[in-house]
Amino acid sequence: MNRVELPVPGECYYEYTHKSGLKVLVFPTVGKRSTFAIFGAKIGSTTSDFMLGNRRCHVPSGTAHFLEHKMFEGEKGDAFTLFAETGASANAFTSFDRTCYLFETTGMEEQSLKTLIEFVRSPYFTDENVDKEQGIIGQEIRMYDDNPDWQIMMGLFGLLYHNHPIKYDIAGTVESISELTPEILYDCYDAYYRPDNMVLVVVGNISPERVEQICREMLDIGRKASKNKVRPIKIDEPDTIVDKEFVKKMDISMPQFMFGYKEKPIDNDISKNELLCDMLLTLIAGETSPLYRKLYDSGLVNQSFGFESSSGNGYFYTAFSGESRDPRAVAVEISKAIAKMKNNGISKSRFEECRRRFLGDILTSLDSQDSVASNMSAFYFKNYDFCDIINSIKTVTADDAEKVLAGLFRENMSALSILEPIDKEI
Amino acid sequence: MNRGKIANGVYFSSLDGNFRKSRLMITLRTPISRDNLTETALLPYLLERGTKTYPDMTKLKRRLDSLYGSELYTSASSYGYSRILSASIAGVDAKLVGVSGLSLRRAELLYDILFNPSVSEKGFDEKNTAIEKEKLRETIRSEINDKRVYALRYANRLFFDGDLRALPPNGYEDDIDKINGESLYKAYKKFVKSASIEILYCGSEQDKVRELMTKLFDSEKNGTHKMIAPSKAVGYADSVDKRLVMDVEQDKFVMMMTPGRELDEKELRSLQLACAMYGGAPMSRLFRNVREKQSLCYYCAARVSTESGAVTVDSGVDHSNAEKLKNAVIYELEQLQKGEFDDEEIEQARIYIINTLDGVADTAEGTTSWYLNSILRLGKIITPSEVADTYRSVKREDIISAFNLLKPSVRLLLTGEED
Repeated sequence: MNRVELPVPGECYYEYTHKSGLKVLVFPTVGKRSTFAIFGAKIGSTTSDFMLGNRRCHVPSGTAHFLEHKMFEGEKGDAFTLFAETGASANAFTSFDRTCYLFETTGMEEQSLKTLIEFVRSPYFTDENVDKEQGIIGQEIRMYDDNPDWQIMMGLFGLLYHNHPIKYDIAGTVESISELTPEILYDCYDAYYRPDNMVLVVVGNISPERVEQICREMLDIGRKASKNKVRPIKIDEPDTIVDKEFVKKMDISMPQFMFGYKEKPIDNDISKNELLCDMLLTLIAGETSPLYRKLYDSGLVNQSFGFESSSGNGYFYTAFSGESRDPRAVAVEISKAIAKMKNNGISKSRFEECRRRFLGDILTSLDSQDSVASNMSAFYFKNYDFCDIINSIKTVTADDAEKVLAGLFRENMSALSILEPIDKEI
Repeated sequence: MNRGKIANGVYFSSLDGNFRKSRLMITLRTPISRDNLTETALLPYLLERGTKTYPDMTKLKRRLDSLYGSELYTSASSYGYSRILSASIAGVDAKLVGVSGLSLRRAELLYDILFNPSVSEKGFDEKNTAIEKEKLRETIRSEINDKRVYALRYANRLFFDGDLRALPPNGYEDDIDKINGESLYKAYKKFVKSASIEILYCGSEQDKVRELMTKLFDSEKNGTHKMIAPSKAVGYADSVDKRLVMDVEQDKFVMMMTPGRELDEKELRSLQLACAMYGGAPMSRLFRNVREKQSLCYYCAARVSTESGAVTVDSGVDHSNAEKLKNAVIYELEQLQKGEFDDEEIEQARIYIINTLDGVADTAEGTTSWYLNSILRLGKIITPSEVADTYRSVKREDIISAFNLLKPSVRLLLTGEED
């Protein structure tokens, strides 16, 4: 195993590549009882069309998430029962770009790790268990139908993207998941759950050597990787938006909004560009910004105001969201603040304060095993690591930020998603 | 963790674990009352507007940025018969960035936020008070936005009907217009003077932080600290069945049960173990049978309140299956009450709970939250390992007894259907 030193006193991790191509990352922590492990595959809700050998495959929206649910059910029983023997708390999640299986435990780490590897390597899909899962996921979809934050985000994606599958719900729809069959799920598994498309991250109370040994023992069992490598088909997404505004009514107390920009996908220097984008959002709309103060004191936003960015497989967006009695006025103020920063440049002193906050944030994330594991797996799939991000925070300049700013927040690429309260009889 | 008195009514506890993130939390506690409920709810908003040293909100936030992006969190909440005003500051531990005194600078700032707010002789600035009153009004109204949470809060209010614990933590909208900067400052001073104070700190430089707090709280020793009534269980009564119609895609079902009397420590832990078997873990009956086998829902979970011993079950379900789900939730409980479970289920629940408990001390957040809950509930510190020992001592008959204490008190269905 190779030891990788972090640019932080006393912090390091170990990495090695198993002969199957699986990347294994181990971050031992001293003085902590918990061990947290993630076994992740580079497949998410935006995975839709791919070539498997000479065969073109298209999967319905919600497939990656459905696979995630179904992986817990094996031929000999479900994974939760196996984890119950060790007391580990197991879970999984699917994002736009990755699917991760995880556990946290304070004892029997090795057995839990073996269970994790074994169940993710042993798919078992039948007509009966696929049917059964459709009822459970159907209720998960309905739960999100009642979630205003989720509805407003899906509203924005529908405005920004013509074809990209980010516009579809991660869990799909009741209709799309009804198309799923065991054959589609096996195709998807064979294409994306190949060890060389996956990462195993273990953080906590376990030695790197022992993890390496367990990988040697466990990775030879389970479903064999297909000889056909997957080739994702590029998504045809024009550099335009669909529409400027979306309005939906829900039973909420006051209007909610998400005002976003469709950005050009990042294709180089990802860690630095993502970092600078997040720093710019903080400088534009963070709690120390003039914009935030103006919006807050004028009553246009409250504590729910926030911002985010996300980039990945052919998409990149930036967005501002919250509750407001006048979302359109908020969008105007945000546009003005961005234009002002583009014209006037970035204050050096505010940039230094922002740098210090980002450095503090990344270092404090090292305190929690789940944050470390989640970050390491996310970074790995984007081809960078903790060292890259910490070094970038320490070295980026306000000039770098201004260069990135020039290409972001294009006025003709902005759209506003609004949720309005339903009209009630008084 | 060591807890010691540093001034009249002021206690300091600290732990120097191997934390990369340190956290200091100061909690003020007085008896809950309808009278100052809304004013207390408004205080955190005003306290974040500024201190004597940093009287401007933006300057205060910039100060937090300069302290390596320290996170400030203020809140007003209720626990049992306590009304709580709390503030915490967290950030990268001093030893990780090699900045000596970083913990002290954070501690001074947190103290000032709570005890030296930006005020004039008359009180809080009227303009700021007016702004923050609207924010509180919006918070109170926004309670309906998340229907799952709203259903739980609604059920909780029905459960504690007629008891001070039914009071909404954010107060009442009708009270807001009566508050001004002057009245709010008076309420603030009264609250601070009558509060008992707990300070919890996890991180390096703990001796220096204790010394600083001792010095700062020296002037607070003339306060009169009011006694807070101990928690009590809700008695048995006829179950309330409530149907609430709102615009939702999925019905939300909540059932609350009471053990009918106060529980001692062993009974409480037996009930928690029972609850893990029932619906508090992935191997539980509700997860395995109601979700996985019957596919009725995505979530169906049960949890115990350590304060009242109440057990709450909540789930989201298609309207056509709501009755079926309710019956399934009750059926699983009845089976367990009859003792229809094996020793493996007990051991799986026990190992699951103890496993979680063992990880509490891994983070400053987990540690401070654990010890604060222990102090609020028992008035003293109880360690995770002591509680783990109690779980180990729970026997099958203790679990059956715990299950059989439970009687339904509230059943709520928040539904989109008018029928």
